[in-house]
Amino acid sequence: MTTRPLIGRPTAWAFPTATDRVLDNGLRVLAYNMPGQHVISVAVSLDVSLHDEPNAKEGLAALVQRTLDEGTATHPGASYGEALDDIGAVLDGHVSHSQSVLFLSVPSSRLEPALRLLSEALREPQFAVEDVERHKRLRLSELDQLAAQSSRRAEIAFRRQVLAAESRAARLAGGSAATVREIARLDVAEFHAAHYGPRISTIVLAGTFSSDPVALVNQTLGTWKGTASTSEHEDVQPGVGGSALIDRPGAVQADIRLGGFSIGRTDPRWAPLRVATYIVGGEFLSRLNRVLREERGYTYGVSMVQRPLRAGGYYAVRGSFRTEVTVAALVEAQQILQVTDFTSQEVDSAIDYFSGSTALRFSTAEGVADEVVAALGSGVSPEHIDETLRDIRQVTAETALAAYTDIVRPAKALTIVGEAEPLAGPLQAEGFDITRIAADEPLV
Amino acid sequence: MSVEHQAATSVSYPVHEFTLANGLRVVVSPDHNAPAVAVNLWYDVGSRDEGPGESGLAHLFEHLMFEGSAHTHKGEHLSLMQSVGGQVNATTWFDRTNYFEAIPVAALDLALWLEADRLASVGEHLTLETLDNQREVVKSERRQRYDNAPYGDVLEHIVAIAFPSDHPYGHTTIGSMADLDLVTVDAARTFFDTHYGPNTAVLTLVGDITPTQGREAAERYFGDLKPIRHAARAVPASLPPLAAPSVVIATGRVPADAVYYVWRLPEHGSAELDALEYAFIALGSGQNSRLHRSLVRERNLASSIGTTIFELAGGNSIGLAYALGLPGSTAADLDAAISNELTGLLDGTTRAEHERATVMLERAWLSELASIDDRADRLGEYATLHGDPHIINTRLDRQKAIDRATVKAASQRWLGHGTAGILHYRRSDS
Repeated sequence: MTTRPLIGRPTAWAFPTATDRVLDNGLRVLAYNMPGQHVISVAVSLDVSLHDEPNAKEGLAALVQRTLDEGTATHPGASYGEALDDIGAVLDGHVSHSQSVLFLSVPSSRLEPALRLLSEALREPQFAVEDVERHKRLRLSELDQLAAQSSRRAEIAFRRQVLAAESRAARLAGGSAATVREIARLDVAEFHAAHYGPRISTIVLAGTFSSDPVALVNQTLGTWKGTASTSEHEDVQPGVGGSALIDRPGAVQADIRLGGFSIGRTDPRWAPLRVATYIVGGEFLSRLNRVLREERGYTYGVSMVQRPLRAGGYYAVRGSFRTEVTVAALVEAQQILQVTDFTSQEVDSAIDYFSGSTALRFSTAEGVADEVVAALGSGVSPEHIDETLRDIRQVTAETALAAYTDIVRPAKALTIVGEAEPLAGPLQAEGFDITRIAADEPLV
Repeated sequence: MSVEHQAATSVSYPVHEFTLANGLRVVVSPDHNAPAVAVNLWYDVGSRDEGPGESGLAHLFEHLMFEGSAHTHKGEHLSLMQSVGGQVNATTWFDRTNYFEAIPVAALDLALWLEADRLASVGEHLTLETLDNQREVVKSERRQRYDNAPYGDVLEHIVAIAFPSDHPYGHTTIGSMADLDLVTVDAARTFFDTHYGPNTAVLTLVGDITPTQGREAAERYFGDLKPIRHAARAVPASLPPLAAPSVVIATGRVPADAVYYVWRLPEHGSAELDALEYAFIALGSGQNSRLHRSLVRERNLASSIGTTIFELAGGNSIGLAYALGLPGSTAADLDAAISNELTGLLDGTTRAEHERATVMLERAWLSELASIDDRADRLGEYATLHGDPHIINTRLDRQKAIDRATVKAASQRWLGHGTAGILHYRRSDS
């Protein structure tokens, strides 16, 4: 057997360059021509802050996004969906606290009719009352399903602890049962009229274009009018933290979220913090996973992630553990989080991961569109993507440690979802002042 | 309104095949659009090859392949590949165990060296400590994916409905806790010696590489490996559709009732399965499908519906249709509604449905093949299970040649009245 091949450190693959235009109506177009990508990814990013939703009717933006493909003036009712299917186009989307997004994918030869249909959904959705009512019902049912899933439940509850309770960002993007019930068809139509418009939107297209994408967008969306103006984005503050134990009777595992308030992508500490987070809980042999999975066998996987918001954010250690070992895992995780140094080897490996993996991440139309949408949602331009990669390559063990110790302080917020009875006592014994939450507490 | 006929985008990928003296099949598909290479190893083994009392062994072994070899420490394969920028993972299923890493081109030699090292030596380097550790990890995986998840035992019910318990597809890939507890180091070694050799493997390379480079690299790193003694698998005869099975009732702590229809279907690669794909799309793919229109849109019975086919190569595949209820919908309601749509489907799909399904198949196929790692995996699958990686370029045309009469005939044969096993999953009151 030959000896282990030595290879050079990977060089970063630069993010593709866009054709960047702003149409007369204010719509920004970013087009990335990529060879060999025969299914075009189109994403429309709208600067919509959920802070603009009336408190009593949270979930409006999500209902708008979910209902706008249920029929348009030109293609009423089911004929809209049929028209999409006829050309092999798929339209979906999502709503985050700072951004509403529509995603469209379609084979390249059918980009023009797909853009026409997309234009209809943006400009002239019908919002038929039966469709709005149905999506309200679907949202209520979805909340029941989310509440039953241990990991989702933990994530939702954790946000409420780690972000200030009065922030919109602490609550569900899609609204709770109480708020969604209050929404009427007129509310949906008015929210759309007030918040969908070219001046606050960017359309991203990536793939192998058979004709000029900017011209196609201009033909289909160039006459889009709308009064929507930029949203005011919330300045999210840290929550009070604390420890919550949410009862899930019959659970054989417990889901943990342990973490605290953090920073967003525009903070100068972002690159070193990302590197530090990867070392502690991102890679397979991260400090957390190496011990809790590969030595103890406590879990299928434990990780540490950063969840940046437009400004601020939070970090969390997350994992599912057999009930019997949950508290032991938690205690050990806390110890592992107390980092006193990073080695240059750890930092180099992390940098190499980020550098080397860019080639693959940016090699598909979907990967490129996703990355641009994420940047726009953070309030930064696509150039920021390469800037961040350059910053990562500059990170040292010292800067990683400085950023880490700035942000990751001893136990701030803890959420556990699991069988409460066997967990409560041991948690208290370890010094966690837990608040017990009943299984049927509604999601907010 | 009429369905427009659009010019299809058809794509053909270059496919080069070689076989080394030791039986390793190598597939190289150059793509110079990104300086990355997808490395993919398919081994011809899956949970169908597990004997009685051995459920979960193939998947557990997949874990063990990352846990140390002659020249790597526990976890080092994965860690090294990540440290050069690779996206790396592995999966196990009824017919499949595959290992893959997508890496910058400069790291190709390292990736192949690592793959060859573990193929050559994992069996000898297994320890009880590592086995015990990964056994616990797999048991945690089972809890996370199944035992702790709402509706988590549905898959076990599905395979039990579709196949006898001693059929290769009659148990789930994750295995039972009891069987996992029984695995010994010897059993794991024997499994490795029986199923892992260059002659049971397909190495696929897709990306910034030429056929010559691929062949030479394969020869350099895998050329010295010895073939293993490998008996041909006894594939059971294809079973006919289920015959009037009874309804299975399950209960669980779930927020809503759900119903699953389970069919035995023809095996992957057969013309009839290709035809049935059209029927399943019309029945439950997307918002224009019959189940969505009726159960979700018109009758407010379900929050979601779907259909899927588990394409399996060993005699039969599994077909599914499901509906997840809204509050107030009972399993009986959902069952009756699905049955109603099925009855209509047996009269045949419409021309519009057929054309839409064709367009959807094309789009899904192009989308899947847009990434080099998915492309490599498809090549590996076709080479391993069907002996021909070139299917990647002919599959879509073969599907598009199917006509509605063929779809109708296959539907009536395989989806007719009484051919579905039905699972009622009810929420338990607690």
